[in-house]
Parts: sequence; C-alpha cells; structure tokens
Amino acid sequence: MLTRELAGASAKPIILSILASGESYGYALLQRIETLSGGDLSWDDSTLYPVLHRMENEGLLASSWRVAENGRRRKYYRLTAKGHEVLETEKRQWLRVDAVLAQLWGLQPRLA
Amino acid sequence: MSTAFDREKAIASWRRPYEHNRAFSGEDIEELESSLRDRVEALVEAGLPEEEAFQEALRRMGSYLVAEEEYRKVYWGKLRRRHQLTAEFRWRLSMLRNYLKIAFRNLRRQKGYSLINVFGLTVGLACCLLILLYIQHEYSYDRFHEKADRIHRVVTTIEVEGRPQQTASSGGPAGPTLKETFPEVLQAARLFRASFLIQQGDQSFQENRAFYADSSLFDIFTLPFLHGDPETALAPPFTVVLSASGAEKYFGGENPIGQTLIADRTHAFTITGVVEDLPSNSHFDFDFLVSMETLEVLQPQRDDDWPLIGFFTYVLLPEAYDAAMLAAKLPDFAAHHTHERMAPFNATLQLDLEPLTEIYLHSTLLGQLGPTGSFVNLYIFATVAAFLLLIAIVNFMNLATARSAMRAREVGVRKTIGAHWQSLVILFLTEAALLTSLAMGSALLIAWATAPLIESLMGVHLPYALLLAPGSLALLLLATLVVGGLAGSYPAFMLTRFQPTDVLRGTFVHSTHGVALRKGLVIFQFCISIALIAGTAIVYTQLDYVQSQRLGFEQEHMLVVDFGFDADVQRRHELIKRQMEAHPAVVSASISGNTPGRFFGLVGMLLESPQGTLESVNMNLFRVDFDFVQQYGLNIVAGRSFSQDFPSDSTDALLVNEAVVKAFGYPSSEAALGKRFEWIGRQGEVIGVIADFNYRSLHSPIEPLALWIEPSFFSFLTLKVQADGLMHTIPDLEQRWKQLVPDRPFNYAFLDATLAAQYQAEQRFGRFFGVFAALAILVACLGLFGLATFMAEQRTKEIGIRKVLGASVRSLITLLSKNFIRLVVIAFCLAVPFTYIGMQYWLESFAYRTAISWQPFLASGLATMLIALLTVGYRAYRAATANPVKALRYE
Repeated sequence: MLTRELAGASAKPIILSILASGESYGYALLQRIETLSGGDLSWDDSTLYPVLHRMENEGLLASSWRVAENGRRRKYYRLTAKGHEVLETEKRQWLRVDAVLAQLWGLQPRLA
Repeated sequence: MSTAFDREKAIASWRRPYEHNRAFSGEDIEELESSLRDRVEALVEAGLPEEEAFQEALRRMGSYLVAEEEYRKVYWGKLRRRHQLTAEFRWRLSMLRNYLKIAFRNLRRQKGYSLINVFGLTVGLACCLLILLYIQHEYSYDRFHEKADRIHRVVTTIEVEGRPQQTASSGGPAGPTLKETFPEVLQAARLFRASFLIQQGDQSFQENRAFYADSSLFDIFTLPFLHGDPETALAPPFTVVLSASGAEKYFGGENPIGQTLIADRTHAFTITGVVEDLPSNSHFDFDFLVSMETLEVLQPQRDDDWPLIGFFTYVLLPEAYDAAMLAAKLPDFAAHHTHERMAPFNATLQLDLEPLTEIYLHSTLLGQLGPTGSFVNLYIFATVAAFLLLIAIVNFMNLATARSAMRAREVGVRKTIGAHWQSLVILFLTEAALLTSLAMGSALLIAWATAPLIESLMGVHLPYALLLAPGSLALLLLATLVVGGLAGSYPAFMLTRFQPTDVLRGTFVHSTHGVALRKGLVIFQFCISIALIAGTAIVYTQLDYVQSQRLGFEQEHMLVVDFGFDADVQRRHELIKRQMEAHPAVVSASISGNTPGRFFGLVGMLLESPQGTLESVNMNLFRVDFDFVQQYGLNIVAGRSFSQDFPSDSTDALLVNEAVVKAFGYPSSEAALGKRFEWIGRQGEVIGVIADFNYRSLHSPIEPLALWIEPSFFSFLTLKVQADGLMHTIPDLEQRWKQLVPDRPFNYAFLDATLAAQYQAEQRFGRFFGVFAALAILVACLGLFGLATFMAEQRTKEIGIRKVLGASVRSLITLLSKNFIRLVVIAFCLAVPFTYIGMQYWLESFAYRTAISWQPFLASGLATMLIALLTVGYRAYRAATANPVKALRYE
C-alpha cells in the first residue's frame, strides 16, 4: 500500500500514461491499474472520478459520452494536446527523481 | 424462498441520496452508476450471485462520504454556477446526439421495414392534411370580411294559405326601410342578379356573373379597391365596378376607369372601379357590379314590392350587438309594412336575420346565391381523417413492435442484461420520432403534389399555403412529436415491461398479450375496405341507372342555345326559330323559357279545384312555344296540346301534368279539362294534361307542373340535331346564328350533359368513395403485413422444425395463411350488413333507385380476399423459405 501522498501524486502521471495509448472510461481505467499494479494500487470510484474531473477542468483531458447498442452509457476520457505535453513533463520529472534515488540506493536507474 | 433480487430497484435506491446531494451533478451520478453496473456485470460473470455481486461492487466503489467530500472540492473548483448549468445542458444534448446516431444506424439496417412503416404513416398523414385543409376552407367561408361577425342577411318567409316558403332573399324595400327605421342597422346593401349582353368593339360576351348592387355594399363587405373610389364608384346610374378578372377579360392589362361598355345593345356603362377578386371561400362571387340606381331606371317597379323577392339583402349591425334583439322587432316591422299588400291573398310575409358566417354551412333556405356546403359533410370528413390517422398510427405500432421483438433476439448479446431500460425506451422513442418526422415531411410533399389533382377531382379548394404558415408549421412539428411519441411508446413499453432475459430467450415473443387486439384491428380494417369497395360499386350502379333512365322526354342530340332572355331574340323568335330549323341537320326546333334540368322556382298560381273554387297551388311553370311539347316528345293523355289553329292559346291556355291532377284530387285527367286558372293578370282554362316526365333530377319525385306560352320569358332555343356529322353541324349552326343574331354569342350545351350535371354531387361522392376505398385497402394490407410478420416471428422455431422434418414450402404457406383467411371472412360477414344499411340510407335521397344486388358484395369480397392472400402469401413464403438452421439456432 502506498502512502496517501504518494498515491495522490502518482495518480496524474498514471492516468495520463494509460490514456496516452487511447481513450477509456472509468471502470476500465480502474481495472487496468489493478492489473498493472497487481493489486498494490487499488483505487475506488470515490477517489478516481474527482481526479479525472479535476484533470478535465485543467484542460488535460477531454470527455465524451457514448451510448452502446444495448443502451449502456459510458463517459470516455482522452488526452488533449496539453495533456500530452504535461505527460512529457511528468515523465521527465519522475525519471529524474528515479535517477537520483537509484544513485543513492546504489541501483541501476531502470528507466532510461 | 427468498424473493428474487431486483438489480434495477437496488440501483434506483442507491441513486437516491446522490440525487438529493448538490455536490453531484446529473452527469456525475450517471458516471458513477455506469461504473457500478460495469462492476456488477464483471462480478456476475465471474460467478457471483446477483445480490452478493451488488454488495461487493458497492463496497469496492468506496465510501459515500469520501466521495461527497472529493466531489465537493471539484464542484467548488469549477468556475461559476452558470458553467455548471451549461455543462449539464451540453451533456444532455450530447446524449441526445448519441441516441439519434444509434437510431439512424438501426433504421438504416432495417431499410425494408422502416420504409413500409414510413409509407403507411405517410399515407395516413397526407390524407389527414388534405382533409384538414378541406375542412379549414369550408369552415372559413366569408370570414375574411373585417366585419364578418356583424353582417347579417335578411331572409323572407312568405306564407300562403298556411303553407310557408322560406327564401334567402327579400323584396327590394326591405334593406333601405330597415336602415331608415332602426338605428342599430348601421348600413344596408342589396345584391340583385343580372345578366347582360356586353359588346366591346366587335366582340360580344354573355355576362352572367353580374349583380345590381347598392353603393353601401363596400361599407359592409371588405372588397379592396384596386382602382377607383369606393365612396362614389356605384353612386350614379350606369356605373360598373369590375372584379380584377372581369377587368382582365374586358380590358386586358390596362386601367379601365372611365372606359365604357355597351350593355344589351343600348346602354353605356362607365367603369368606375376595379376590386380584387373574391377568394374562393365566399358565398357569392361576381365579375360585374352595376349600380342599383341603374335598376331604378331600367325596371322602375322592380324594387318597390315587398313580396317580389330576389334581392339579397345584407345589414351591418354595431359591435357586440346581439342580433336577436333586432330579430325580435322584425315581426311587427314586417307586418306593419306588408299587411295591406299580403292580406288580400290570405298571405303573410315575415323577415328574419341570418348571420353571414353561417350562410355557407348552415343555410337551408331556397334560392341561394351560390352552392352551399354541408355541415354534416364536415363532420364526416373530420371523423374520416381522425380514423385514418388512428389506423396509420396503430399499424405503425404493430409493425414496430413486431420488428423490435425480432431485433431484440438478433442483438442477442448477453450484455443486454442490465441494460438501462430507460435507455432502451429513449432509443425506441427516438427511432419512432425519426420515422414520424420522415413521414410528416413526405406527407407534406405528397399533399402538395396531389392537391391540384384532388381539387379538380372533387371540385374543392385546398389552400395548401396555409400549411406553410409559421403557426401551422409549429403545430405540425408538435403533432409529429406527439404522434411519434404515441407510436413509439407502445413497442418501447411492451419490450421493457418484461425482463430483458425474457426478450433474449424468446419467451416474450410467444406472449399472446395484444395479439387478440391486433387481430381485431385487422378485421376492422378489412371490414372497412370491403364496405367501401362494395359501396363504391353500388354508388356507380345507381349513377348508371339514373343516367340511363327513360325520363319521359327526348334527351338525345338536343342542342340547347341559351340567349339570356335577350329581348331582341324574343321579339323575333318565330323567325329565328324557322331559320335555324331550315338547316338540313336540324330535325326540329322550339323556344322556351325553361328546359328540363334547370330549376326556376315555384309560382303560386290559382287553379280551379273540383269544388269549383280558385285555390292557390305552388307549382313549377314552364314557359314554352307552340313547338315545345312535340319536340320534347311529351305525351298528351287528355285534351290537346297548344296549337296554332287556336291563336288564343297564347294567352288563355294552360297545360298541366298528371301530378297537378293528383294534387287537386281530380278523379281523372279528363276531369281537369276546362278548369279555370289565373295568375299575374292572365286567366283562361286547362286545355290538356300531359303525362308526368322527370323535368328535375331523379332525386325528386315528379311535382306539379304547368306549361303556358309567354315569349317575354323565353331564353332557350332547343334544336334536335342529327347524330352524324355533328362536328360540322355545330360550326354551321353557329354561323347561321351569327347572321341572325350578330351580337349574341352562340352559347350552347347539350341537354344530356346538363342533365348529367345534376348528379355532380353524386359523381364526386362516387369518386371520393373510390379513392378512399383504395386507401383503406392499402392501409389494411399494411396492417395485415404487420400482423403476419409478428406471427411468423412467433412461429419461427416451429417452421424451422417442420422444414427439417420435411414439410414442403407449399404446405407451410398454407399453414401460415389459414388463420388470416379466416380473419378476412369474418370481416366480410361483418361488413355486409353495415354496408347494406348504409347504402340503403344513401339511396333514399333518390326518388328513383336501383335495388342493392349481391354482385357488388361478391366482387368486393373476392377482390379483398385476393389482395389479402397476396400480402400474407408473400410473408409466408419468406418465412417458409428461410434457412431453418438460423431459426433453430436461437434457443
């Protein structure tokens, strides 16, 4: 389990990265994170959606509703241009931190 | 046993606290619910039972309180309240767009059914639109006058010996005297029919659309002037106001003010004004208005006599004035002015008021200015329109339901479980609304395209432009949504009432709910179709009968020339007649003031009764010459006809028909000979009795008729011509006429055509029946098609199994069609008695009628059966030849 601060800080880059490879909706995002992290990161709806909405307010994401053949409605999110930019920034920053920590802990930086 | 867990109910109660919390927008709640459903589905698929899956999903969603806090933070982070509202609105709009996209996709995929459905609805809507236009037009007669509500017509009831006769006109003095006497009569104006021979240069016209009119007419009615001054236009004598068409006819495009026309060879009329043409919904119409002062000069006594009716009198009352108050004063008023005049004849004259706006639809008086409409007709048509629309909508619903049931199975995806049922409802409604809009658009187009055809076929006016006014367009849009909503609600409701699992498994499709209703509807539709087809056949049979009846006088090859009571022709009538008769192709000639087929009103002649007293009797009077009786082949059954050997015949002789003999109670026709008669200063005796002949249409029984010689009333020259060479004969005769009467146009018509025109209303009725019958069959077939589709769906599995077991296509078709043939037979049995009674009733308006035979019924039954077989057969064929594997695959 991550600390609250870390869970909060990592939300943005994780969401941006998942959505970078294509649009998705809330539940699918949650499932993806669950799978990727093997259960370590398990968010719930009450925390994920507010984050998505805030990111949309900031202009990083754009949303649209879709109605499926069988009547199911889902809200899909995708990255905006600004979102892509911010993702690059976040990537650089996290990699930078990882590089420093790797040196301190005598490990090879895994992200290059 | 625990009650089954209802997922929808659980979700609904989960939603409630969120909906009352302002931290969550509608969109937010929708998103959370979507997420919840995704979770539940995943858990159910993983194997959890419904209720546990729901509880687990809830748990994993997280805490309500945390959510509320987080959402509130974001909520307050959003810019302004207004932003929130527009976001909400934009979201709902995008949802609608989504539904439309899917609805479109679905409709395109089922092009065939969608088209049939749209077509059925289009037909219903188009008929409705046209009928509504017709009703609107009929209902709006005379309402275009600004003061329409304040205008009343003065009508007269003359009672002679206790027998009243009500006419739509009054005597000359009525109008002016009313205005003088009563201050509440703000204005009064009279119209008196006229007809003139107009000469312009070397052209002559017979102007029959003419009236003498008071100048005050323009104060009462709204008749916009294009040229000239309404105040002075008709004040002096020998002035004329033309209609725009009249001006066009006589003067082409130029301004006719100040120009003159020569009337009846002697009078010079000056044009002092041109008014716009009256619209088609006016109870009177004219091309030529001559000032009433002119009548004073030409026929000084005509407008002084109260009982000499024929003046159409209109009065203008003040605003918000109750006409009944004036009407109450009229009995005394009429008695005061006419008692002296009427008493010697044991007669009374009464006046009454008739509102302008009620004349066209409600007036039943004699001697109307123009054709009148029928109020009953409007009701009938309105009912027909409502019926048509209803049937179209119900057909639509049936077809949509049948198709949806099929579709639900085709979709067949398990993910349908848990589908938001509200979503499906909105989907169906959207589809229905789309189809209805398409139907409405097509209906407007079809109505526009067919309106001229209907107008000429039915002799009605359809003011199509009304439909395009913004007000009516808005109404049409509303109607589209309502109809679409109605039509789409049924299949939506049907499909969502049941659990989605039923729909998938096909148990829904086997439900018998509503099938009885559908069957009943099909029977009803076919009943109407059969009735209409048989009815049309009966109407045409009667028309045929009526037109081929021996009427008791010579009808064929009788050319009738109308010379408009021309005084010159009257003076020279013997000479003209002999000259025209001299033409080799003319067999015989006569001149008269009446011909069969024209109605000229009754006269109150005094005739000697068997008791020896002179009694007044209302009868028809034909003014004829010495040759009329022989030319028309009238049979003398007692006494003799008019003869040149007895010169006094031209003043003292009267011929009567057998109906007079009966009316007076003479024991025999011979007994009537020698009896005295007296009227308008002439007297003499009956010299002969003629056999009854049908001088009116076969609607009326033969009424009392008298004939006498009166050249001053002559207007028609009848020439019996030989059948061959008519093409040359007519121009020849015209030439001859022109030499004899250079300034009277050769205005001719054939007698049998004039007689046939009496049945114009019936002919239109027959046509209407025919068209309606065709439409009814069309709609009934659509209904049958829908029902057949539905039932074929129901039995898909059964058909599949039978095919696998080796049933032939033919036996399958028979199997499927059997039930429907039964329906048509039931419809037939129901239709026959109703049609019989209905047509009997219609036939009663004819004094002479055919008997209703069995042939029309047989023919209509067979025709309907054939069409039904084709419709069902096609559907059955499709079902029978479908791949049985596909049918059996859906478990």
